[in-house]
Amino acid sequence: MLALLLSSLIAVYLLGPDLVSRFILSFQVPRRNIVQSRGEEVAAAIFIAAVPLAFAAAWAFAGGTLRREGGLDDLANVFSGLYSEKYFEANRQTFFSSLHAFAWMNFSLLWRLYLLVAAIGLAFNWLIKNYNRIWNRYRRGRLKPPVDFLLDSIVLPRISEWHVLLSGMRLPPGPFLLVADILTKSNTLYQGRIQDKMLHADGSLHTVTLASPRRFLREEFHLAQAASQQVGQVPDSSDYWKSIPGNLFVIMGSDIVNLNLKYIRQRPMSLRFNDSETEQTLSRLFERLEGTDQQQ
Amino acid sequence: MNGWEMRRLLDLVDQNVEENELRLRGEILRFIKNHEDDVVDRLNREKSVKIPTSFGEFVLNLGDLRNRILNPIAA
Repeated sequence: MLALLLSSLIAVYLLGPDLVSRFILSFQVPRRNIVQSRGEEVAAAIFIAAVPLAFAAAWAFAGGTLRREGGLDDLANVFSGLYSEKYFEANRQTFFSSLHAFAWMNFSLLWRLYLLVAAIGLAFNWLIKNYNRIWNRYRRGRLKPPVDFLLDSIVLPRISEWHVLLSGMRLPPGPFLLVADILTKSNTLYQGRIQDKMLHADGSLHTVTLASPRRFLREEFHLAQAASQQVGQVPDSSDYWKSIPGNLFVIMGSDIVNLNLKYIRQRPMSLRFNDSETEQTLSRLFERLEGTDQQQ
Repeated sequence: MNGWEMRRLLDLVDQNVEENELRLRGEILRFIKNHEDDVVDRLNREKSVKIPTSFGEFVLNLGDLRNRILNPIAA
């Protein structure tokens, strides 16, 4: 019976908080796939439970609830009664009275523990969701070091690398596009804007969905290259992309050999740069357009 | 990968943004210079022009261009 009770306590105090925190974090994004040994997993579970448990215990003590429900005598009576049948027979009345107090003491600790774990999990979710906004707001100010520390040590290790790479969580303000060149196992090169991604529960890449997909005509390009050696004119690779009709082109993660990711501002010409050539070209174009407008 | 390694990866994303911005802008400008008459004609007729780049096709709108020249945002 004592072994059964200890197993139950380990389950509700160690494994439960770990399970709840994983569940809540999965609302926002799958966790990283961290390969851990059994010992490391137990150590991580103890750490995840220990901090909120310490706060839950302090909360229950400070409010006087824990002392009101029972004390160390009740714990001793319960464990002694479960360990020794003789003790149980001799102190049956005391045992059941202490068992009642023991149950309430655990209840008063457990609801606080799970509430804190849920609150911490939701706070992490909020940080993950607002990572981009927080990072952009504090990346140049005095608060940069503590914010960096918070994000790097607490938030990032809990997020799948694929989510970090395939989402806009670390981009400057403004609308961005994520364009990818994807080489598949069949040696076909695709390009398109990453519309969506699906991750496995362990954070690994399941699928990538491309918008405006196109396929590189490798054979035709090589033929043109070979022909150009005789003519002396190098073919332009941008002429050898074939558009694929449709806006939901799904590539399985298991088919991908490599990915070349390119983050691009949606309106690349919207910013003014310290580059007179750009300004001159655009101004000339604009003047020509205005001139045509006035003529009309 | 721990948080700091992830951070290095994110720094590479930052560099990627800057480099691609320069490359894409260069490709768009080259196209505009090489096909200026065609671009002007299309912008006049259709108010937008599709510019092919190695990143895919980008649409340059007349309204965006006007906004860009008259109300520029500093980079």
